[in-house]
Amino acid sequence: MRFEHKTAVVATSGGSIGLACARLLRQEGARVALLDLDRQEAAGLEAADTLRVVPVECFYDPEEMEGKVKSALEGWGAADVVVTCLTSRPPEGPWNEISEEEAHRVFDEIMTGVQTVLKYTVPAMIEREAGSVVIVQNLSGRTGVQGENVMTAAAYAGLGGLIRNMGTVFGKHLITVNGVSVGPIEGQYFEPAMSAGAQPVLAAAGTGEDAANAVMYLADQAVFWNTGEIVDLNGGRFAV
Amino acid sequence: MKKLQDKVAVFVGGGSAVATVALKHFMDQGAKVVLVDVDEKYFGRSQDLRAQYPDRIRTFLGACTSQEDMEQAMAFTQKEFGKIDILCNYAGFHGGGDITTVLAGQWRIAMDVTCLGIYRAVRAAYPYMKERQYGRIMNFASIGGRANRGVPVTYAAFKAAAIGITRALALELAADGITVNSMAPASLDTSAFERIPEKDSVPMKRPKGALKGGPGATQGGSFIPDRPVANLDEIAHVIVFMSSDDSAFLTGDCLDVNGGQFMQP
Repeated sequence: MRFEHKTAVVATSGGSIGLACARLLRQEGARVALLDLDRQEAAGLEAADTLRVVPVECFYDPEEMEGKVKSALEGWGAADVVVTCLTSRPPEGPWNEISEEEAHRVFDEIMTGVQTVLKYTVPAMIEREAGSVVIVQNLSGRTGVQGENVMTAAAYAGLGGLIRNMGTVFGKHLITVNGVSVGPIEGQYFEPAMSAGAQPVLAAAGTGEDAANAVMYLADQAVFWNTGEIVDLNGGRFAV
Repeated sequence: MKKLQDKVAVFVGGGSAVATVALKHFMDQGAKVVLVDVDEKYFGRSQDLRAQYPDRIRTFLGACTSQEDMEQAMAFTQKEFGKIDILCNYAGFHGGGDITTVLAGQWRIAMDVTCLGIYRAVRAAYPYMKERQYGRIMNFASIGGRANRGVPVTYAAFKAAAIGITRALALELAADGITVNSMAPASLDTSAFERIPEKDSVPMKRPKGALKGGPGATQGGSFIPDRPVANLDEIAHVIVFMSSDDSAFLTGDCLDVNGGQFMQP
């Protein structure tokens, strides 16, 4: 099993990708701490010796995250793998009528949330000189997609900058930082307005498992020599 | 014919070294420019040019962190020069630290200046450009947001977000004859300018493990002999192109102007 004896933290807004990551990592031998915003979805998951489900109110609240990460990893030590699958509901209305509050909400939910989770999980990786971080973002952060919201597109693009920068800065500690940028995924929170502009060329829909498999590829020590990379997983809609 | 004859431009963050050199080129090419910045001291850099072209340059005190300031800056431009053709967003915030050490306040300033500053300025300029069905918007980003660079995390993340918002705005504004592009230079030769410390920046130590040189550093490293870093006139030529009628079919793009340091596939 690829992740035997590994500890993984999965931070999710509650969509199908985060839940699939938790499920598949466990199947591959990891013990998983699932930090979950949408407790309804995770309610069906039963805690076990290799799964902890930790409900989260706000991923960008540093006090909450410091405590939740600590309790999520209590007795398990440092995380070997950290996966973030954070999204945000796009602001409504025309692009030029987005309020300051809404703009900040989107950036905080997507970017500050990731920054806060990593603030409390990466230091232990630095201590151990080992670890993998995988950040899931969205196709609209990689290229123009008709129907995308300007704020969510910008925030997802910001995650790309984070990935490349973190890959560069933490490489010295043998920590890899990579990303998966997804097109429309079944069951994942997605912006319906974007669907038409993001349709795959493959005659098949993307699933949470597809995304989770890409995440595991990047987190796998067998593929260690890879950092600052973003895998575009979109059924061929965008290829560069 | 001059490339920007009778065009009117707004430079947000117009007191920067890059903007000051670009200003000279805009004057050479026949434009009028309103410089917008947060402090009078930044306008010192363009003192000579303003004296040379008193009818073609104006200054306006305002911050891209305030929608109200941006609305007023654009209204001022309309009043002074009768239209707005070009918007150049130069304002950015370096900040400091890595993902584990970055201060919440610095993160927030970077978000508000580097990315949302663009949004506020574009939103304010849009009605004027839409009315005339013409516009050129240039967002000054950086290789720090584009490639594997050991810059502060605040810079990398929100320059990347700035490039992202450029693409999204390009799609929104295309139907109104407005192009929106960004550029991502690498290190610049600003040695001719006295350094003005970045407003609200909190100095931080280089993050543990961060590279000092080699791949990922921002100490220059172009492949063009005798020119490890870009001179600002070279950057200004690209800004003129992006601001002129010549670039009508260029939109949603990010021009990497870096002497070959980073080549996209």
